Amino acid sequence: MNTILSFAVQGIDASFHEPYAALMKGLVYGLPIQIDPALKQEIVRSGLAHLVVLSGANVTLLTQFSEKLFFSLSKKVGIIFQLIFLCVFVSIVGFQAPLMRAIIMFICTAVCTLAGRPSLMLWNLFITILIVAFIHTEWITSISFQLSVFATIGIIIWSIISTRFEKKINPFVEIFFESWVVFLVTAPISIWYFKSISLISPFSTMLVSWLIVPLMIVGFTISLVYLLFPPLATLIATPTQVGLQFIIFIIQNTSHLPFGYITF
Amino acid sequence: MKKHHNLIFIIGVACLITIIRSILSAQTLQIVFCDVGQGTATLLQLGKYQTLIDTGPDQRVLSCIGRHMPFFDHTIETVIISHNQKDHNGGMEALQNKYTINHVYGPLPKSTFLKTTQFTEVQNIVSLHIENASIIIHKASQSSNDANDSANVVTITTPTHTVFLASDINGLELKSLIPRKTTILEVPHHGSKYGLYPDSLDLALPTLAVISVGKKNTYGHPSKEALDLLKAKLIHVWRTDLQGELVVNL
Repeated sequence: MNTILSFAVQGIDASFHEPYAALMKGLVYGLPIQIDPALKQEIVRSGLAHLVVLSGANVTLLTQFSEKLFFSLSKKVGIIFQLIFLCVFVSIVGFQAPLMRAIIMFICTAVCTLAGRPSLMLWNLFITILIVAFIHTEWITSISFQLSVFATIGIIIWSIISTRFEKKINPFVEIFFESWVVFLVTAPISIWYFKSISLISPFSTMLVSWLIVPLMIVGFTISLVYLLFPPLATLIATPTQVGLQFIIFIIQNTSHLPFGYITF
Repeated sequence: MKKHHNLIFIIGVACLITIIRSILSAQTLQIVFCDVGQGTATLLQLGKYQTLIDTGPDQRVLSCIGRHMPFFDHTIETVIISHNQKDHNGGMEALQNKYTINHVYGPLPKSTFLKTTQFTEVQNIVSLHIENASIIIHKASQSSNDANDSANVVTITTPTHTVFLASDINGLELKSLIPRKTTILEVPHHGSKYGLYPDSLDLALPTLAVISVGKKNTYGHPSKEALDLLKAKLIHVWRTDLQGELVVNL
């Protein structure tokens, strides 16, 4: 862990007991859960391992946050600040294949926006894969990158399907179906590499996904606030405890359901 | 505006749940037999007061006690180390990094990272009290140089229960040290055949035996002999490798 990251996680470590601190560090900074091998295995079995790795969700959160802060200035300045935010975040957490996939895709979208051209997600993804192949060929063969790419394809497929519905879909139902599409698209990779698959994943994802963005925001806030005024970080952490306890509860209960996790 | 009201309401409810859970946990004396793999860690808790008996082999102990401690509490009042073997004291450093520890009772040598914590060597018997519960730490043997045989055993007595934590002592010592009124026994040496002899439980008949043991451990714990003996005496067995942690309200 680099020095900046160890500073950043101090607040989370001091504000939460384990395993909640480990879960929060996984959500916000993609740090692997090493505190408890049994919990790590339960996360895999419940199909929620994608929550504790850095991915598009972290990039979206950062870009949306900087958009709210700086887009009132101008679109160009806003995008520049978004890129600065992302660079700072990468310098904290390090280069990771799924994170870089999301950032390069964001840059492609930003270029389209600045050029006044429509941004096509599949096309952006294709260009991203080409760029990654050029700058860091080994990532192409990494499991995390492949899972990230296929999950993005699943999200794109679902966004195409969902636009055909005339009525607005309930957010929980939408997440459930989106999770199913992502699950079906990423299933061959899971089976091929891990010789296992979590059938409960779409269900458990639906149950906890609404909490992820608020928890990530609070996690970032605690990291910053702790460096300035530690007692305030503890105060902010108080209601957050319930959210983390809920996720652990879902992990523990869905991971032990019969036929929820199949090994080949 | 309505959106803000909803957000404030959700945060308020979440705060309330956290506080109520902490207050409720303060009402009852609990003992938690942690699942720390091949090792032993047992948490005794009443509200903000915690006594941890052994720390297990590594940082897994944090995950166990963190689920039971009140969210605002970052101090462990007492840690009792039965003997200096990794499966019993290996989690001490992780514990020291995460929490403030007020007092450690254990055998010499004192761990090097216990700089600011008060340390007491258990030479014979030490008694502690939490409300109406008593904790007696007893050095199993004064003469033996063997770490297992001279380990510190712990007896916790409440109006309704007597819990005997036998660490890694052998079956002969168990027979002489186990209190007659024992209701819960933590089986010596993770269920090793040397921890329970056929006559070890002749003087006491616990209703529950807890075996703190790791999945697929290389020692073959718990032994068939120990399991058969407990079965023959109709003692209910709880294995942390198969059933996970156990929480008992005392």
